[in-house]
Amino acid sequence: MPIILAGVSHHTTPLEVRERFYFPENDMSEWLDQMSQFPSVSERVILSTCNRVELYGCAESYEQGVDAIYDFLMESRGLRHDELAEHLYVQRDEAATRHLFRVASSLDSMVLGEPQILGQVKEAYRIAQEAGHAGKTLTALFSRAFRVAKKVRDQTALGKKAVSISSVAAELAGRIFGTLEDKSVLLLGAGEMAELAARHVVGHGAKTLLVANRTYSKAEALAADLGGSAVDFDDLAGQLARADIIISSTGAPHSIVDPTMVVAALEVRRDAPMFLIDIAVPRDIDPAVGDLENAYLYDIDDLQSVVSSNMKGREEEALQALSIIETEVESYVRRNQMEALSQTFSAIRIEAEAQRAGEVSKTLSRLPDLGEKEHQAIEAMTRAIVNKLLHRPFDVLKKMAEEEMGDDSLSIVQRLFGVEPDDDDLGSGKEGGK
Amino acid sequence: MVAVLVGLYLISTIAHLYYLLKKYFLASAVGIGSLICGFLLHTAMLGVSFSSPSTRGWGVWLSAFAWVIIFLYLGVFFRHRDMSLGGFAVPFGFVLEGYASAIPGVWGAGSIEVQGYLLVGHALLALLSGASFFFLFGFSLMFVAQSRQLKSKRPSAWLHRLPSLDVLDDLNHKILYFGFTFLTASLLIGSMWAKSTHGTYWSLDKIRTLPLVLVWGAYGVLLVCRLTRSWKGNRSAVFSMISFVAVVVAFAVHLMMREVMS
Repeated sequence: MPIILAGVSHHTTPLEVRERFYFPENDMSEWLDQMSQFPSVSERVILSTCNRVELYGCAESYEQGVDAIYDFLMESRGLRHDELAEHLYVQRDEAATRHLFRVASSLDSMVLGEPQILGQVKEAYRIAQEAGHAGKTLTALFSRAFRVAKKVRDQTALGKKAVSISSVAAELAGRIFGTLEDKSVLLLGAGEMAELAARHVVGHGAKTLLVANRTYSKAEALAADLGGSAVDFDDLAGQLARADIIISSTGAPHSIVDPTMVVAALEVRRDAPMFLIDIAVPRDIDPAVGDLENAYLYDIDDLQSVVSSNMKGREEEALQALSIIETEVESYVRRNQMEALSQTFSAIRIEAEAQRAGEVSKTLSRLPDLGEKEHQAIEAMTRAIVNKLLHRPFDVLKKMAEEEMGDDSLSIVQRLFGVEPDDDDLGSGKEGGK
Repeated sequence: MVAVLVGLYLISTIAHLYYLLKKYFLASAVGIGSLICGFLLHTAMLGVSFSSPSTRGWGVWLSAFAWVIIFLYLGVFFRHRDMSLGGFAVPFGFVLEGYASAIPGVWGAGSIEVQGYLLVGHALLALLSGASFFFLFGFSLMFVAQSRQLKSKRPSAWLHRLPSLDVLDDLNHKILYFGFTFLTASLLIGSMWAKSTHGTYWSLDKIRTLPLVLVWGAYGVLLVCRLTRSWKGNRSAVFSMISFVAVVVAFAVHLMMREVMS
């Protein structure tokens, strides 16, 4: 049964169009119920985030399934057919599988390797599954997508390197101090980026936050907001010794921290390392501080350079991730084909056996003089004929499936033998309408 | 069995080096798995050898040194879940074990037998201190490399492959403490053995004594400075690396003198 994907994403559609496709998560099960009014799509999952809206379904007929999704989007989102035709990308089976694996592994995200998307995909599936809209086919597809995403995360460093100034600052602090849980942070000034970096470091568990500002009331307000305490800006030299991490972003026209102050602080700290992050322009911390032993100084350009390098690193890791995904897609598609083929073989055997048994029964009823031994011989002979007749087609089909066999080929075989599947045979979960 | 043991350490060495370069999780599983198998086999083989004085040859003691290296590394790994130290500890253990296994009759009767509780204790403690100083050297090397990464402001992928400075400095402090204690205890027990055997507390010649005194003095100074003058970070790491040169010299001198005297 074809898997169908229809959607819009930040790659293809501007925000002003994308927001018209958006399905609020709180009402998702109702949207899924509404979609189930279009019975051509027998299973359904809706993934709706700020960067993408994607509908996954499976249908007996690809064309009917796509029509049903168009109808559902026109009815539920008030979109016109020509708008859908312009913006919606539609994929099936292997391409749809590949796309979901890429999305779940964060290879299709705006920021490569960002971790939130996997949680969003899991949540979309969970809602559909709990509301009874995800059956056997989509459950298998999404479960595999989660495993692939885990494999990509485990085997590549795609999401491991920080790609924002504040997260790079926290990451570097981690490489110096290991854990930040017992560390103190001193925030100098009240620049927006410095505040963000401080929030990030505190979010990683820093124990104490000290805020110093030329205007004490501003320091108090920011300290209250961040859960820290305000300290005297005029006693900067004394405060330096108390902090493991110093984040500076004042509007001072010249350096406010010089090497002498840091040397004194290091002495008080008995050489415990200091990490100084200078986000101010012009710089607050004299660059010569970076030459001191056990003092690690990064200015805004240094941090930006690490961000760029990490972004490049993620792009390189993405190549490895894509290779993992290709292998997984191939394995998944092949497994599905073999499963479908195996079900077709079973159906053909059952049909052939029914035909054989019927014909043997008719023949034997016309030959009443035959004994038990002859009956058994005829049964054995007819079974052997059926097996021999089926052996070659089965063998050829298996070989075709091992190389490449589309759904169309399988469908022709099913028609030839009169074993076209219905929903019960191929068990795609929930029936169309609700 | 020896071939299996060396083979397992070789597999682990390759896997550890590959993991260090690529951070490939399968390499970590193979590296640790083969190392644990090798370590268990190694333990059993040493147990059999040490059960009889006639099989406690020089090669077995060298093999025991490799065993201590692997043992300490596994301890650090299970404590910190960090394989970066294995990038040089496991290859070193492998080379040491390979060399020990290549000595004729290593797992049979050896040329030098270590007999008596005092001498066995002395040798065991010397092994532990040697292994500790080896690890101290490794941690210090990693500290200096990590510090340079951070100072460069253009850190490479090694930034994420090496442990944090804080962890390395903490490990340095602990291993220095243990290494120096083992060395001091080893020297004391060695002196007691010399007294009971040769009637004097110190029977080594000057050539072998001087490097030993240097080793003990260097690590002693480092420990005192760490405890009293709070030497931390880079300075301590660089001093540890220089001190390790004295360990290598002392070891080489002992080997040379052993050859000369035999």
